Order: sequence, then C-alpha cells, then structure tokens
Amino acid sequence: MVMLPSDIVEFLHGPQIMALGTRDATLRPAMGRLLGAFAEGPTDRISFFLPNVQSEPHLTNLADNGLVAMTAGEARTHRNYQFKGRVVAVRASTAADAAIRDLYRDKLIRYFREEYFMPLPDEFIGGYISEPSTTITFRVAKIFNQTPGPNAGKPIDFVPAEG
Amino acid sequence: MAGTIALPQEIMPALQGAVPATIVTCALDGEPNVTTVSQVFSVDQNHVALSFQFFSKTIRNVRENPYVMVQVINPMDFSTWLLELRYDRTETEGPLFDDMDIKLEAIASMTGMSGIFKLRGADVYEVLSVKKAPWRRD
Repeated sequence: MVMLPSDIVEFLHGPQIMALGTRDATLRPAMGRLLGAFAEGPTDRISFFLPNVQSEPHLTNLADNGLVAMTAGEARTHRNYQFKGRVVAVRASTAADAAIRDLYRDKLIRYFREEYFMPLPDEFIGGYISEPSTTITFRVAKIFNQTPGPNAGKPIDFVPAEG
Repeated sequence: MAGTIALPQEIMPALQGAVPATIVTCALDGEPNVTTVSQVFSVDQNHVALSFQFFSKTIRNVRENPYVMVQVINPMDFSTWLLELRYDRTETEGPLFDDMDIKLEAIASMTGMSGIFKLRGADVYEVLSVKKAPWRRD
C-alpha cells in the first residue's frame, strides 16, 4: 500500500492556506481557493473541498485532462507543500464532508486569532462562500517542498502508486 | 483572447503585499503548478510585475508558456481578485527592479524571511483580464 508521508498528512489536516491549480485544453491556468482537505487512511489519495461558486472552470478542466496541482501552506512559518496528481473522483460534498470542511474553517479562524498579535478578523476566513461544495479526490504522483529557502522546489521522497 | 485592459483603482490595495499572492502556471507538457508569491507590483495601468526569486518551476513554466493566473487579496475588505496575465519581459536593473528589491526586503523583514528572499529579476506581465472573484459574501 502506497502511503503519503505521515508528517505531511498531519500537516494537511491542520489550519493551512490551500490553493488549487488546473489548466484548460489550451494550457491556460486557473486558480481556486480550497476550503480544507483530507487524506483518508493509508492511501496515496487526497480529497479537497472546492466551493461550487468556484467550480468553473476547474470541473471543465479536470474533465478535460484530470491534472491537479494543490498547495497547502502555514501562514506563520511559511512551511508549504505542493501536491500534483490526477483526479480520480468528483462528488457533491456529503454531510460528513461538510463537517470536515467546517472544522477546517473553524481551525483556520482560531489559528489566525491565536498566532497573530493583531489577528485578522474572522471574516477574512469565514467570509468565503463554502456551501455547497464539491469534493474532489486525486491520486498524488508528486510532492514538492515549497517552503522558502534552500530546499524550495525539491521533491519529497515519495513513491507513487503505479498506474 | 482577451486584450490588454487597465487595472481598476479598486484593486490597488491588493497590490501592496500585505497578503501573499498565489500564481498558477502551466508547463508545455500540460502540468499545472501553483505557488505563493510575496507581492504583485503595479507597473502601469496595463502591466504588473512579479518578483523572480527562487520558485524555479514557475519561472521555467512562464518562459515556456507565458500565460498565468494570479490571485491577490485586498487587505482592507478581503476581496479576492483574479488576474489573467501574459509574461512580457524580465528586468534585472533599473528603477522597477530597485523599487521591487526594496519592497521585497521590507516584506521579508516583516515575515521573518530576511536573507532568504533574494530578487533576481522583475518579471513584467501584460494584464489580459482582471475581475473580482465572486467567492465571498458581500
């Protein structure tokens, strides 16, 4: 069984800022702001929550080519990873998904409240329209360290699954 | 393709570097790439500049495929803006480079990254489209 590194999974489940990159058939990029992600069990797959208000052009792009780039980064420390892979499932977020998504939002609000001397208003995080959302799962093929510094851009030791 | 358009005055607070920006690029082999940039600088009404530091995959992609999408956030009202850009040129000296170098060092000092951020060039992009993303409650 191929597994994502446990420390990175733990990080992914924390209050990180998350972004999505996809591209269309003409190689034009598109950007989205994700509202949480999770890696379920010993697996090489990550699922993330894309609010439906942001779903286009990403769903069209993913239907065209399936390619996902996703980052997760911590605001204070700048620790940051990029995950790349191919989509394997797209579904309307379930009630269980929504619970994880809302927990992520609350963790992120609490993080900013506690970590910054002058905390950003809760509206900074809480103002994003989250409902309804789509849950997108992709199989991770590559992980990159994107923390600023000498190791920025270096791949993380990770053996992806075949196929 | 969208033509060059002017940046609205409303976006200017989002170009001050208070909140890091996000950039998505795409390699010629089709692989997208997403990363954070310290600041998107306003150059003139139709152009912005991004600091070329150490995110080499982004730089390689842009040299292959000049189209990028950038997200910036206005720290005053948290509005999110999406800019579709096309890479135009890199400046490694002159007033724009010097101005960006000073501002980048200021951002680095404020974020505990002093000595890590190193400006190698000012990548200038033409603005193809700009819109406020309808991602937030008014």
